[in-house]
Amino acid sequence: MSPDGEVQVIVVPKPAGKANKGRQINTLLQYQVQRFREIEKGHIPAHQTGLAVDPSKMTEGEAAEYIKRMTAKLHELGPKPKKTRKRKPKVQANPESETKTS
Amino acid sequence: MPPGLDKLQHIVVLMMENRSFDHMLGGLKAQDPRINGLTGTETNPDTTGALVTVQPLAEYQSQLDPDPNHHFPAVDLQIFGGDTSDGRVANMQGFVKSYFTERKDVNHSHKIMHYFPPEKLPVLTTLATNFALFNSWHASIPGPTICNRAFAHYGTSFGQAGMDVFYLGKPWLSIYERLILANPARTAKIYYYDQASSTIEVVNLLQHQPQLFATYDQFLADCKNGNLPQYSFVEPNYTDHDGDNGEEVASDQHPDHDVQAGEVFIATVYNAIRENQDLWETTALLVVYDEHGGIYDHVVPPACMPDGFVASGDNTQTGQEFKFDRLGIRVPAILISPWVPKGTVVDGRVFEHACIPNTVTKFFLGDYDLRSPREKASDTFLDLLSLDTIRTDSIIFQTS
Repeated sequence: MSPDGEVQVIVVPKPAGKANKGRQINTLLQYQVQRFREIEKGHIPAHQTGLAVDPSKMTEGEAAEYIKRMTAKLHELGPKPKKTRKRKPKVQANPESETKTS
Repeated sequence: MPPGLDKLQHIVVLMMENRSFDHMLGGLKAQDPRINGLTGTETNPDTTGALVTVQPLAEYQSQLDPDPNHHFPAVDLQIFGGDTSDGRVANMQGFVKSYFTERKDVNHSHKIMHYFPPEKLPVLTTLATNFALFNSWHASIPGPTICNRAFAHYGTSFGQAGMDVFYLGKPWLSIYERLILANPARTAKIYYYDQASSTIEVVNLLQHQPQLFATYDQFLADCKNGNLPQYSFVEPNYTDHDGDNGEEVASDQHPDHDVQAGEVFIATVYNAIRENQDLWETTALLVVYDEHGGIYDHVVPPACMPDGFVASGDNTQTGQEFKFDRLGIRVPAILISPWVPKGTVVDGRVFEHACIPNTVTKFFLGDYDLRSPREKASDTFLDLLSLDTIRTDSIIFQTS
C-alpha cells in the first residue's frame, strides 16, 4: 500500500485475444435478442428492421447488428427530452444611458 | 455528517457479468487473512466421486467454454449439492457436477474450481486492496442475470427467477424513475457501451424511456466535463462486434469473453473519474458483478427478507416455488472513493443488489416508502466514506 501523496501506476496488459464476431451468442444475448424481437413485433409493427432473427443460431456479430438497429429505432421513436429554452433577459431602459438632449 | 458524505454529489455503479467472488478475488486471502477467500483446500466432488480442489489456474478466455449454467435449477444444484429434500442444508458442493452437465467431460468439469491468482487481475486486485472490499456481497437471487439486475434497478425482480422481461405497471418504480420524477427532479443515466451492445436488462426501460440512456463515450465526456448525473449505471460491452472505430471486443467478462478486456474496461471507468479531481472528490464508484456465473464460491448464501413476491415452480423450473427469502452466491464488489480508508474489508454485514437502489434513494431522496420490503430492509454502503480528511495517494491504471 502506498503512503499518502504517492502515485501508483499500474500497467494493465492489452488483451491478447481479438474480436470473434462469429462466436455463437450466449444465453444472455439470446434472451436479449428475443426481447428486442418481441418489442419489434408486438410494439412497433410499423417499424420493422427487416432482419431475419433466430436467437438459437445467431453469431455475436449478427446479434450486435440487430441490437444496434433496434436500439437506434427505439431512441428514434421514444419521447424526446424537453428542451429548456433560455429566456433572453429583459433589457430595461437605463435613464443614464439614454442619449441626452439638451 | 462525515466530510466525504457532505461533499458527495455522484454515485456511479459499474455492473460486470458472471464471475464469483472466489474465482476473481479468493486468492487474496493469502495476502490478507481478513478477506474471506480461499485457503486452497476447498473441494467439490466430481461425477466419479473424486474430490476436485480449487486451483489458481483460471484463464482469461477459452477455459469456461461452454458457458457454465447459472439458471435457477443449476444454481440450486451448485448450492445444495443435488439434495432436493425438505430440510436440506446448503453445502456448496454441486459446482463440478453442475458444470459436467454442459459437456459431459469429467476433466473439463474440474475447471469450474479454478480461480485467478491476484497478479493476473491487476486492476480488480489493486482496487480491492486499496479501497473497500465487501466480504459478503451476494447476488440477490440464486439465478441468472436479468432477475438479478432487476434488483439493482427496482429493488425486486417482481417474482421472476429467470430471464423474463418486465413490463410497465409494476408497483415499484426503478431508481431512475424515482430520481427523475422527484420534486425537485434529480438526475440519472444508464450508460451502455454503444448501440450494438445496448442495455442488457429491463428492456421496457429502453422502450419507454430512451432519454434515460446514453453511450459510454458520453460517460467519458461527462466525466471530463463535469456533467455526470447524480446517479449513473454503467454497462460494459456485451458482444464482439464492429464499432465506429474498428472491432470492439466484449468487456463484460461473461464466459467465454476475455477477462482481460474487462480489466481494461474497469480501469477506464476508474480513470475517467480519477482524472477529474473535482469529480474524484465528490464521487463514490461501486464495481460489482451481477451473479456468479455458475462458478465456484465457498460461502453459503444467507437467508434474507422476502420481497413480497413468490416465483412459481414453473418459473423456477424446479417444480418448487421460491419465496425470495434467500440470496444468491457471492460476487466481487468494491467501493471506490478517496474518502474510504485504504485496505477496508467490509465484514460482518450482508449486501446484495437491492442495497444499490436503497443507498441511492436514501442519499438523494431521503424517506421514500414506495419500495419493496426487501429493498427497505437491505443495508446501505455510503457509511464507508468515513475518513475525516481526503486521501492524497493516487492510483492510475496505464492501459495500452
